[in-house]
Amino acid sequence: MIRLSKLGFLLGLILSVGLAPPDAWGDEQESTDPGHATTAEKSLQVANLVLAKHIDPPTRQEMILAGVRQLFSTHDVALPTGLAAEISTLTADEELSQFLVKMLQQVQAESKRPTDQPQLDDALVLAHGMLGIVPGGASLTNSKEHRVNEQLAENRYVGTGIVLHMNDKKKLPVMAQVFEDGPADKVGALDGDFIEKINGESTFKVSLVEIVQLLRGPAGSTVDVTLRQPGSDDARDYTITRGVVPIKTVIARTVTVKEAPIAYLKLDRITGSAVHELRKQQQELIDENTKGVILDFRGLSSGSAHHAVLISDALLDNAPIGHIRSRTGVKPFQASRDMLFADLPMAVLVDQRTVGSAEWLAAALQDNKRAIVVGTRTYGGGYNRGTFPIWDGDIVVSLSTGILERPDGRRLVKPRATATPPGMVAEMMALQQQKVSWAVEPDHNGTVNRRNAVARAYTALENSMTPKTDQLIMRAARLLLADKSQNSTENDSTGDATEG
Amino acid sequence: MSFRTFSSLSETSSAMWSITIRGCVIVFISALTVFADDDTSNDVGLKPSIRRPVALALVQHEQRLVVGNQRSGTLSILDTETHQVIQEVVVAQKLSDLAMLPDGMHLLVADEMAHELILLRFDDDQLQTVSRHQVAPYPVSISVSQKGDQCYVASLWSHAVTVVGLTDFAASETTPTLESIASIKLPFPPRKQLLLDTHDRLVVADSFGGQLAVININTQTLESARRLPAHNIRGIALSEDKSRVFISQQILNELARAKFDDLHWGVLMTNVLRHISVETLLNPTADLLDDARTVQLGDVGSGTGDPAELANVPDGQFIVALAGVNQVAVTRDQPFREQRISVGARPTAILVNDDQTIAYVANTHGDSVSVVDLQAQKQTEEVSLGPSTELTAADRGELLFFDARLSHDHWMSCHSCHSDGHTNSLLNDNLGDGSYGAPKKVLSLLGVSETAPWAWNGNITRLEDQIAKSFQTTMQGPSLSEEQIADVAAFLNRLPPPPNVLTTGNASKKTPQHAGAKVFRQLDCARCHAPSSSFTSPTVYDVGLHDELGNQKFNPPSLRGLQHRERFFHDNRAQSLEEVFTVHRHQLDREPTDDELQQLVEYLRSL
Repeated sequence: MIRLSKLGFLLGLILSVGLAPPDAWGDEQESTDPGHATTAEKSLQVANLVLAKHIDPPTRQEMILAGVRQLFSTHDVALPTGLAAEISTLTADEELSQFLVKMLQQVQAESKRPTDQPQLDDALVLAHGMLGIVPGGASLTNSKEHRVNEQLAENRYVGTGIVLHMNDKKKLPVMAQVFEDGPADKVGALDGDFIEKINGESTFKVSLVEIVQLLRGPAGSTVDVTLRQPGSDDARDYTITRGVVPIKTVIARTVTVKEAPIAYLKLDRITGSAVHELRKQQQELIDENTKGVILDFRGLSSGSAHHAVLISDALLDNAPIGHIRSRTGVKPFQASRDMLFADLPMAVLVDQRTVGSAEWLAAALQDNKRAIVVGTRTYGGGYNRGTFPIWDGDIVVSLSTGILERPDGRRLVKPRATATPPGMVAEMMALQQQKVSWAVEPDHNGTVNRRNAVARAYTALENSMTPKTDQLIMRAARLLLADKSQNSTENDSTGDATEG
Repeated sequence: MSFRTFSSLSETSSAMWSITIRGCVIVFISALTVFADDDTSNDVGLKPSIRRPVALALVQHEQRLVVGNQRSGTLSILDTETHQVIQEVVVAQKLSDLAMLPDGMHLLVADEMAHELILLRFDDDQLQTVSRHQVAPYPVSISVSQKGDQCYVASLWSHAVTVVGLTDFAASETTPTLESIASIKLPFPPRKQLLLDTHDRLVVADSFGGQLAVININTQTLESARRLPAHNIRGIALSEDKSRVFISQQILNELARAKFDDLHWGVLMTNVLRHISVETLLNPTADLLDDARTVQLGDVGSGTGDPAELANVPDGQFIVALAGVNQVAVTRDQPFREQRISVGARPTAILVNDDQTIAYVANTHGDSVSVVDLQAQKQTEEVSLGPSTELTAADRGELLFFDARLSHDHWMSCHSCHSDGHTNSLLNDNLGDGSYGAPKKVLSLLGVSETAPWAWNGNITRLEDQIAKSFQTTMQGPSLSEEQIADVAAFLNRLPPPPNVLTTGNASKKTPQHAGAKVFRQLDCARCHAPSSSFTSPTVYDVGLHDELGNQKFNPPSLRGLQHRERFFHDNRAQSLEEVFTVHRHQLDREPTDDELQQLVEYLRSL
């Protein structure tokens, strides 16, 4: 359940070089250090923000204690005893602030961090600790990174259109992937190119974070690069003009099962372009005379509730999508008429890595009997996230402001009491046996691996054709199934199909 | 030849003979021709004016193209060989539609301001008005039966279709007459029509929203009125094989946000052709979407704001006017693959000739007609209908209001939601209320000059501010200059409120108007909806409602034109005027009697 934005944390650490006041270090005095007071104030701001905006926040005392634990751990100092008892008596802003100052002084006096390590912004350390215990995952990012995240969420990322890796051996950045039709592709960059120079400067031993900053810029601006394919003698110079790089988030394949072409659409992530991409796919499906659609939501995590609403709306015809429960109330969403892939039966694949609004989307399709769900239980992380600037806008906090509910009101959020850290296999297995209400349970159970995903879904679809099955599926099945042979030729071996 | 005719007519002002035959008055008027005093403008001496062509007809064995001009009320006659305007004749005050009769000689013109259907005869380049006939007020479209014995006139603010008999056409001796046979009430203000003669049915579309009505023309009754997910239905045509009806429409997604990204990905506003089988359409209980298909026009990067009239072209394709982007598109039943052809400003009407080689396009704001070669798929000529007078600020504002190129990627114009200045009655989640998350009903702009302050939260005190805000935060297009904003404000300030019942004839004969007015006063409705100030007031009120973001104070909308709006309150929660009181008990401190309720609703409908 703890999800930190790793890159954000890294960047935060880098940024902290600028943020820490110059006289914060080496101050041995007992009297209140203005630096500590600021740090305490900033930490309190984070706690207050969570308390004000989160749908189900921890208490400030819980958060501050968690922050302090993180602080001590980062500075490699043993946690004092009795903190819980002490903090339980504190309620006012001032009291909590003073407590934090005391902790900061203590940690600084005893800090065992090697002096050659970069200075830490204790406010960030405390903030990370606090956010670590916030349900639904919360994170900090700097505002620049946040803007990029927003662009990605809307699939309007502005950049050079590459996936960047660091080759640790050569200590050079690599264009691991060049997006088709992106700015880098347009000038002639190739997958695997080493980037030897950016704007004339060598990139040898430059950190990945800095490379990213060098390559980023507004749409229309240019960056000069020198590239070289591995093992080649040719160094190539290009000028890349940054632009919007739309990324394909719906990857499509047509597979033939029993002579019927079935569309298999994998959603990489939920973004603002999803509905548009699905519309384009619909035309392809019509062209190819497809008989069914399988949507793969496995590993599909979070995404915004707004985009999930738009996708649900596109896939459902005049049906309830669900609700978002926030602190101001419960808001229902209803899909309008018009739906994509009408007349085609649909199956949705899910697993425990289907998280957040992706689960909500699967639940809407399942509850409206628009699709059958195949796979294993989803995560139970149905939260709606909101972002809030803090600390004069430098940092953005992302936290859960709402809970996603199915049309019948069941919340897609694992109850906190039974929360288990990942890796507790035995407990997970025990949970697997019962059906729960806080996640999407598949109609047809069984591990669905890549090899037989399609066949499994198709078989499940076929098996679900009983007189009791919903009209839409029955009608669509008649179109789908040319013949009704009993045995599938591609049965999987990893589990039995159980009828939902 | 024609010049001599003109000069002789100009010497006689108008000669009138009245002949009374069987109680009908037929007036034989020589057409009043239009002349410039000095002959400097062009050969034909066309007077400078603003024309606004909206309808087309081919007459005299396709030798002449007749163009109906809305603003000037004139018919422009073009020679189809030379593409020159050879005549221009005033026939109406506000011309809304034009239709040709099957004999190829008579024309019908709808006059939206005089509330008349006008019968004209065009023979050997001579245009004569034969007769005028009163129809339900505000006629906007005409369709004519195959035999030419009946025509159907849809009247916008009357919510009605008038069946008009055309008698005595066969016999050349007797003068043709127009006679109202029946009037059919519709549950919406209509505009486009499609006559399915072989099925004895008339399909009529909502002008603003998404309803389709089917009228049985034998029994002259309304057979069905069903709702499509649609608005601005501005084109309707039958497929070549006569099995499917194609309509051009827009879809506003109420779940999307008026933000750059939703607009960019084509999720906020889409422009489509939808086609439905005739069978489904004519089955009154069938779900219209049962076998419907949608063909999206435009794509990310190039929207096709405001699709309008459509017509058949070879190979089962359609040509559709894209009014907001100054183009027409030729499309098959496949999205994302249409061919776009540039034409003049705001093309709204298309007419294809018999052998489907040429399409004539009326460019309403360009005051011109485009000639499109359908084989080469390009415009060969744009013919100006005559010199223009100087545009006023309001005229310039009108051009901006209907221009979809003012939105990002050209997906929509102001008209796309505020249809013809009115409303499509749908919800939109935009920054009008200061934030996202609480979609609100699109407000009508008819009579907007009298209803300050503006916006649902009453925050806007200058109309120019709202206009600037809408262009910036909703349309997301290029920024407008202050002068342009002022022009749009001038246009909006010119929009009159929708007509009330006294001129539309919608009054129920059962309930006298003053009874409802009394109830209105007794229940103290006038406190917020003051009759003396357009049934609104300059403050915001807490009426026990709040939106999703907790906003509780609302700016009372003007009640003028209520009969022309569907669904009520900021989020359309009331499905009818009755529901406002029966379900939502809006500001009722006592229980009205059934009679009082009926009187009140009748009164409200009459505003």
